[in-house]
Amino acid sequence: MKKLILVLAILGMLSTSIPVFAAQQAQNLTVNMGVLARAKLTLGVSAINFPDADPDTIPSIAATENAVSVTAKVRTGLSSTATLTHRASGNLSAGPGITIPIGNVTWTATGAGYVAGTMSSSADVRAGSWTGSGSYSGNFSYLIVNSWSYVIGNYTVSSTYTLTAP
Amino acid sequence: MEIQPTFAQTITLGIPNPSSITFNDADPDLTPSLAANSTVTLSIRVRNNGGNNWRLTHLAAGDLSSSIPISNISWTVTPQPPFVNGLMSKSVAQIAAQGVGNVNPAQTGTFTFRIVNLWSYNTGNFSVVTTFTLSAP
Repeated sequence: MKKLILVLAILGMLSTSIPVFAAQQAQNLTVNMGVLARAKLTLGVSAINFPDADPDTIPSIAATENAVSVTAKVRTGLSSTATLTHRASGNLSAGPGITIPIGNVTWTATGAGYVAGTMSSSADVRAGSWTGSGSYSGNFSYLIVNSWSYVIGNYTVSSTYTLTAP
Repeated sequence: MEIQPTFAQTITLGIPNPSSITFNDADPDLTPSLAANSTVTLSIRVRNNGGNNWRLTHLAAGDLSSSIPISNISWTVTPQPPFVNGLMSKSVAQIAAQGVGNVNPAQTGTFTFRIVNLWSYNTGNFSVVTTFTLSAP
């Protein structure tokens, strides 16, 4: 009888002391992402205008549209440099042989990565650069040297900004 | 004396289907929130759990890259409950489902993963392993 009681006691201890086993199971899920190079440039206006002015009182004419907003959005490599360049198609022209040198037009810049420059039709002029991806906002303000030597007329020229993300 | 043996819980976590998902490149301006190429189904089953709690968690091994935090990925899931929506983390296991007692028969959750699509992401092909863990209690 004592043996039976002892056995039952041991069983009882076992039944009450067996812990509730913690159960755990894991499975993996792999997440992939591909990011390609891309660039997007947004200018606040598509044309700027320099109004007529007296060269003596206003030797440097500001564009009516100043300041022009600009946003360069780029995706590029971690250490890669995205660049923004500006190039005119020629001089300001009011007709055959009636021109104003494009080098008379300059711009100032605000915003991280943007730089001031002088327009050119013979070479790309750097207007901004950034290392790595991001969205970069700034402003350009355009000026033209005002000179008595300009022949009267309405001058125009096109220019192109190029944003490159390697 | 009544002897009532206690059985260990039996839990079953299915293999995610598919076992990998991909976020394809897209213009962040046009697609600011990018869905993965596929939804993911995942089945869970819990038995012999009595009145104990159980839970399914999700933890990432790291970020997708130095410019793509894993916390930019979120999921929505059905059915709710027991499944719950969440945000990925590399530091704290996030609850993906939870309950009390058993889940029997098995229940299958359908997860839809999305990532915030930003211009700040640097280019490249990135990958990270995440782990679902079903545990009780």
